Amino acid sequence: MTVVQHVLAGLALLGGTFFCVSAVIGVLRFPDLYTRLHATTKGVTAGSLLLLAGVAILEADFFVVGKLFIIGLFFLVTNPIATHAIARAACREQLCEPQVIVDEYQEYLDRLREEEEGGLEYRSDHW
Amino acid sequence: MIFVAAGILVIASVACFYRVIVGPTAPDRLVAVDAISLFLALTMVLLAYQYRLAPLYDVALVYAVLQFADILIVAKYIERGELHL
Repeated sequence: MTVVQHVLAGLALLGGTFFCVSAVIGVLRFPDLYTRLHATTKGVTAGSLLLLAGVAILEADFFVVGKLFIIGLFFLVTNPIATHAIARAACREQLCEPQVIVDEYQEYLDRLREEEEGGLEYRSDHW
Repeated sequence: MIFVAAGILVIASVACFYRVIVGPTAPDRLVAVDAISLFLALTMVLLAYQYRLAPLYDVALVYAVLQFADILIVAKYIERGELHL
């Protein structure tokens, strides 16, 4: 029982640290903001879930495992929201323009602005 | 085992702080700060198991909540230039 527990927890901790370290390497080495976001979000989310799973395997208490489950669920929900907020802010402020080839959100914003300047008849035609 | 994982996380946080210092724009720094704060919460969980400190799990949970609010507020500040709370 305890040997299996320790082996499983060790594997989970190893995978979690591997994902966290790869996320940090991505943050340090990638050239662009969006690629950095891509690396850090997925790497840190997967790494944190694996680390929490490792601690939950080691810790047999019911309430502590529930608490770790809540922490993992919270990470899983909030990490993409924070990443989306950062990417939206950077895209709206055009802080990361030169390496972006297709920018559909900016085209959408331009179209929205044109519609607001164009008046009501264009909007009624459009919709 | 736990100490090795916690040490790797601390070293990763220190390496991530390089991006906070030299990041070209503000969202780059924000991404790095996000990663560092998540590593800090995970280190809290690991040390709570190692030292048998049950309240540290609650501290990690509250820290994760506050970190999420922090990132959202700073992203909104970058987006608009001022805060409309």
